[in-house]
Amino acid sequence: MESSKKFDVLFRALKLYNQNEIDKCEEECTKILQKNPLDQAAWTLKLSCLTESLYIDELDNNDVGIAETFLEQNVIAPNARPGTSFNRPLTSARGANPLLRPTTNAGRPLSGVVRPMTTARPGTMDQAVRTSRTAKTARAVTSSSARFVRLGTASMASNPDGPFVNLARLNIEKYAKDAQVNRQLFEYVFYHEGDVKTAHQIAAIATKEAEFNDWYWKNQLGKLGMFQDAEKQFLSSLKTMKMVETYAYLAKIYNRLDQPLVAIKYYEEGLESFKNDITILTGLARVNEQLGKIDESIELYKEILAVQANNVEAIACIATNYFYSDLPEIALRYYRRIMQMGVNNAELFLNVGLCCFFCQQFDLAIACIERAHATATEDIQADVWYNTGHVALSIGDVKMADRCFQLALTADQDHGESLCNLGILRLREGKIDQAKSFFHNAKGKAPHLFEPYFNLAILANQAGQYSEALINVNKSLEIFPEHVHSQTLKRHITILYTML
Amino acid sequence: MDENDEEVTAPKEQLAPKEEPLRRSMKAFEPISVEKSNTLLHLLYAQRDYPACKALIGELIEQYQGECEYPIFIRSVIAREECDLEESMNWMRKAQALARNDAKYLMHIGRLYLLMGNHTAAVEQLERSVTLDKMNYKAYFWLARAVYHLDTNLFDPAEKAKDILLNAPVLHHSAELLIFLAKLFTQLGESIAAIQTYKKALELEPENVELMVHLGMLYLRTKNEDPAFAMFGRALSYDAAHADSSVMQAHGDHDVALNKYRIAAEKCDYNGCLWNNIGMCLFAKGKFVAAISCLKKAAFLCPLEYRILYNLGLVHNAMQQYCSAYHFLAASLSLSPRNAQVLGTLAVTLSNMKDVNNAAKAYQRALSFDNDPQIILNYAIFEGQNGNLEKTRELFERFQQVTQEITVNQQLRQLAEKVAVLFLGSMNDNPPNDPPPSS
Amino acid sequence: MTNKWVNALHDDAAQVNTLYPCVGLGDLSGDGDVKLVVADMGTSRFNMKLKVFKGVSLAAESALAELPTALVTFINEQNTIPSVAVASGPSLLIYKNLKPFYKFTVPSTKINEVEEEAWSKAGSQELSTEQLTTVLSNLKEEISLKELTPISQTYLLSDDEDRPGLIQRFAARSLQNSSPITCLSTIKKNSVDVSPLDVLLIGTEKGQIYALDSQAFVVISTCQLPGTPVFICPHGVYDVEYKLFVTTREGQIFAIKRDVIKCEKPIITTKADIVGITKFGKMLAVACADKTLTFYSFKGKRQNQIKLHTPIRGIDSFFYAPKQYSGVLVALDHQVRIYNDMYQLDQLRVEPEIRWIRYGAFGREEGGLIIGSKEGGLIVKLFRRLAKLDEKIEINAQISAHNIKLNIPKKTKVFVDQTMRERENSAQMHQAYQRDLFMLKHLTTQTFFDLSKSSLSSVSIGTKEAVDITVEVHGFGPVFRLTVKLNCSSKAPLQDAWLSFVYDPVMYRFETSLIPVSYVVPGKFYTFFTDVECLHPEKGTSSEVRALLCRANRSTPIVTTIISMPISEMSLLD
Repeated sequence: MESSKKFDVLFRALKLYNQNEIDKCEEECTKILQKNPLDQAAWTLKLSCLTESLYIDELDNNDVGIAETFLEQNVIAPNARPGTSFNRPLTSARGANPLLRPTTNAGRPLSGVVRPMTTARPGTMDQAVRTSRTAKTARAVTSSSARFVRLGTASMASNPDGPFVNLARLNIEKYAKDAQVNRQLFEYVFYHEGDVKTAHQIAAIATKEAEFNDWYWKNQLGKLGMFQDAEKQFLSSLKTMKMVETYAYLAKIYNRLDQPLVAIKYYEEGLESFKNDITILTGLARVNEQLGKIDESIELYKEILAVQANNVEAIACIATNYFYSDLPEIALRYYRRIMQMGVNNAELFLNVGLCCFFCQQFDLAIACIERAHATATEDIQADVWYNTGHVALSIGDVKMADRCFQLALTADQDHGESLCNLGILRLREGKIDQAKSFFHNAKGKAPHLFEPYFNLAILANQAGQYSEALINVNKSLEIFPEHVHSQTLKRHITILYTML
Repeated sequence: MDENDEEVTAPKEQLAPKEEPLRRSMKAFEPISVEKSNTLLHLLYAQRDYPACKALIGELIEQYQGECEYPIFIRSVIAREECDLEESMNWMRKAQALARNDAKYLMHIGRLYLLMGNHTAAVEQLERSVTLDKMNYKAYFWLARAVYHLDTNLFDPAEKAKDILLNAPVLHHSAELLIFLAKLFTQLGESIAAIQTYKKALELEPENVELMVHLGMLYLRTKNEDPAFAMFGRALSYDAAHADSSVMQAHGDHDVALNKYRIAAEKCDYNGCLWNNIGMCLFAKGKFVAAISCLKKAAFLCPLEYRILYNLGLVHNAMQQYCSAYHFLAASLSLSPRNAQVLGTLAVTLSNMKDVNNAAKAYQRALSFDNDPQIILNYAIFEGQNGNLEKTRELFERFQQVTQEITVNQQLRQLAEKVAVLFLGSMNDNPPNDPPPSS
Repeated sequence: MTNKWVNALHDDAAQVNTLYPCVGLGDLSGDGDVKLVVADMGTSRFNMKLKVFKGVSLAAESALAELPTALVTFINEQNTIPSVAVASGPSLLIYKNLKPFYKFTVPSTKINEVEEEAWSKAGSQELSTEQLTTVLSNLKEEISLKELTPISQTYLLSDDEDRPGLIQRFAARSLQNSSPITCLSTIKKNSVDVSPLDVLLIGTEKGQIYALDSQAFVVISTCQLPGTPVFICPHGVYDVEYKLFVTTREGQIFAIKRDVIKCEKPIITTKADIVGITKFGKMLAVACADKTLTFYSFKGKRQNQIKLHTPIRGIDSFFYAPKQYSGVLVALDHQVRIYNDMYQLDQLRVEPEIRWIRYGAFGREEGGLIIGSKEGGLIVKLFRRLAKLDEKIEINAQISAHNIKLNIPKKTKVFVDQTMRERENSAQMHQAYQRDLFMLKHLTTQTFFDLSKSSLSSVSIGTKEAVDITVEVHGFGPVFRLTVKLNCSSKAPLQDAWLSFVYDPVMYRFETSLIPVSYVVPGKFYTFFTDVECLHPEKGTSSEVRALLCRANRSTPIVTTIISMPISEMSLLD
């Protein structure tokens, strides 16, 4: 900007910062500091610049590694009633049962978006190690080490001549007490340097300095601490001043502690103070969805859309729900909305294609699916082929479906749904042994599906292998207790055991 | 009442202890009977108080040095009810060892083998049991079941199982034997015998809804519609949510049927056949859009069922959505390639889309599989509309031929007459044939 | 909840360990106060007692020598107080005024000739101890231990050193083979007298039913059943006409009439064990272990069946004379319900878990319900005089059709618009569709063909060798373990194959990269392991590894699977 040359240097820097030209701002600040190393304003601004490039919204940071999943000291009720814990979502709700709506690896109904932490399901340690490692959509398994690696390299890269602030020699006490400086310093230390201990120090001093009346510091302490302390801090922060983010953080804690009903309570409290706040509404919608309360979740997403019409998450979730409720034409409208916003990846095309297909707009449908194939990245190849297989089934072309499923398997050998369907196709051809081996595989790779167990139970029952059938049908009922066909089968077999 | 023997102790001389063994004290002595505690055990077992039973059995085994037959037998039964087949087998073998000539234990061991899936061993044990005790009808039942699952090419397992059951004593008093026998008859295609057997079973168990449904299906198969629907109605009166029987009630009164479907759907939302039938009911009432959504739901639940796809094709045809109709009919055809009805409907759809060549081919193919008069008539109309009057007449004559042999709906005949007048009336040299008198 | 029963008394610490057949009610002291008499089983080896309760407090008790199996109260003399009969082993102990009065032993059944001879010979020293042992052991193998006389049983179960002594003691006595008593009941002798005498009915383990004259203790009729009786339910009067309904352990019910000596065919066969049987009007109410309560006519025809949702612990008949109410009391785990043959009439909840119930006149009241709990406590409830039993609780509420809406997915205007579009352009849509579909099929086939050429599939294409392969990765690095599972599902076994790994040697080092798979039997799963080490974990990258199952003489593998190795951790040991 030419005119900015006339302004005061600091003002120019501030303007650049406001315009989000972080790199230029940083340059300006460096210039100021070179002239006057003690200029606190410039120093603070530079800190902000450095932090800005690495800022992660803690609300969304939900990476849970294996260590945290299994070595959790938070005790979760092992037999939670369905609908009160994330590990036991409601399965009987209309439209949310596994027959009408597919489930993810974690056993929850398929959502519109992929979120962090939704793939973690504490089964056995063994299982967790296996499934999260070889799947192509694997998340990094270990928890904190990856993060450090990320941050470390970033800081190295941006400052070729060493870190901007030498933390070891910084007088924490002095700066932490200075209300002009301490917030930026804290953020720098926390996000850029990743030095949690120092950050904690700063926060502790600052909050004392503010005589425990500053909600900001309480929130930061909350972010740093373990769950119990965090809870206390956030609650205290709420008393001082109600802020949206406090409610959100509090709810996040309860989510982690697997107490979704408490989290919902806090979200609703937050909504009372901040009507129509997107963050809270989103959080609430997500929690409801993960609990299996699809209807409530959809209502909330609609409210979000009323406030913010281009919220992709809301649109996607609503669209998915319509699709599985036999209203594909509405789903199609929503997906087109997302397309209009400029998103054009393979997943979207696939979804649009499927919707068209089920609305019987056949001419458009296949074109979209082909586009999806063309633009598919590796990790969703499997799903694309799987859905193509379903299209083939709708056409009645069993051979094509077979091939599609096999292709899906090549892309992802753990794709349980494809394995199961291949099994069914083999059954149709009468190749019972092959079918059985497919079901066994599906059982091992995708233990959240009840179909392989149920199918194996039926096959075993027909062959007269009653004990095997009973074991399998029990497992199927464990996953999906309300499945009427499993219940009937179990009744028939139990009679043979208990007949006089 | 009982004599009390005195304690006899060692004499009090100073003898080295090892010389004179201490006589065991002979307490109040009733002779042992190993069956004494059986009553108590049975009462606890009838109440299904497994911990108390197991405790008592443990005591009894100790007391009688493992020679008590009934407690060991009950222990085996408890293990079986807890689904621990290995444990059950261990105990049952012990019981059998105590009474080698008792057929009952052989039968139970055979049954355990059957449950474990080892059918050959099961058959062996059960045959021995039957030879030892010909009057134990339960052994016949288990033997028939075990034989039925045998994987052999020497004989037809179902036949052999049926013969075994027919040889069983007091067949008419056991509902289980009758039900299994009826199932075998059904599988072997002997419908009349199956119906008789189900009827007998129903006398023994008048409230068994599944029996009623099976019987109803058999009646339908043998074209006895009225007894069939009576049976389904009875089943529904006992269990209003029973999906299978409500599925069949679509005969005639659609509103009544819809009512029944509602109850069944409440219980089980994902029964493909149910949604199919609901859809067809709505179609019959003229609510096409609703029919389509129900049928789509059915197709989603049972993707490889050609009937649902066929119905979808029909409804779309009625809604003039020919592209979709074609899609569904083609799908149905791939799943059931020799089905003349599907081909016939496909031909109609194609003709509606003005694809003359393919329509003609479809008609011909359909007729090559089955000489259905409806298809012939449709073909005739098609050819008539395209102006091939020669062909039309040919087909019409064919129609007459076919309808002389089989009974045909009165409406169809009248329609045929009209068609004839319409197309052939224009050719004056050959007066139309008199339609044959309706039979 | 009920308001028809009054909480009268309860004692949780009564410590009564008994079951339904060992409980009786009778006015034992003749003072108009009906007492509860119980044969307590103690710990089944010690502490067996006969207890009499006035209310819930112990009025009297007397020790029993043996484990009791059944108890009844009966009248054996005109105008006197009832006596108590306790069955224990093969004997019936009669108590009058709680004092032992008489002991009756069930007549002996036929004794095996070989056995009889053996014992008499042993008694007269013709057979030695060892010989007797041998004979008896062989006999045991042939007919099983329980068929021998108790003396033989004792002999075979005792130690060698005791056996001579036993021969001495018992050879002198004549052999008895009295079968243990399993159940007791009473039936009125005639209906004429004011307080009619009772005839005792005894069932034994060998399937005998005896009718015993209660004055002279003489057997007046016998009947043989093919199974062991559990409950006897009498109907009628002995002198005139009677029917005894007897249940057996195999779930059969027999009807014994006058002058019937042997009963072969049951009138009713149940599907599960019978928990209790009682009369209800002109029907039999039978409770079974499969949670059902079935009503049969006296001829054995099934009238109605009520299905419950919890197991039944016991039943008793309910009759309230002042209002002529009748029903069947059903004891569940924590409730007692009254049923008639069609409906449930009442429901009563109690705290402790129920073990047995008994109904009858108790104390000075007409309708007394005594409930025994598993812990040994006693609860007494009395039927209210003013209570009405006319409320009918539906057992299985039928869902009314009108309240439910069919969940038909609604179609929207959008859908209708789309249908219009289709109607207008059906031919074009059709063409476009078929063309695209063809292209899609082509794409699929093409890709599939490539796949089968390179055998990248993890499921084998050729039908002759149907093998599938799955691989799992264990470990965090830098050392991993690969587990390869092979399963052959074709009929013929797989032979002479090799499992080979293709990998980037710069990144990984394999312990064994070529594993021989000599023989794979169809239907079984085979596992193979190999260790893999990541050579440069600090780089934080990973690459693919392929596992191939191949034959020596074929260029394309049978099956392939691609494993994407996870990012390796740093070694913790440095």
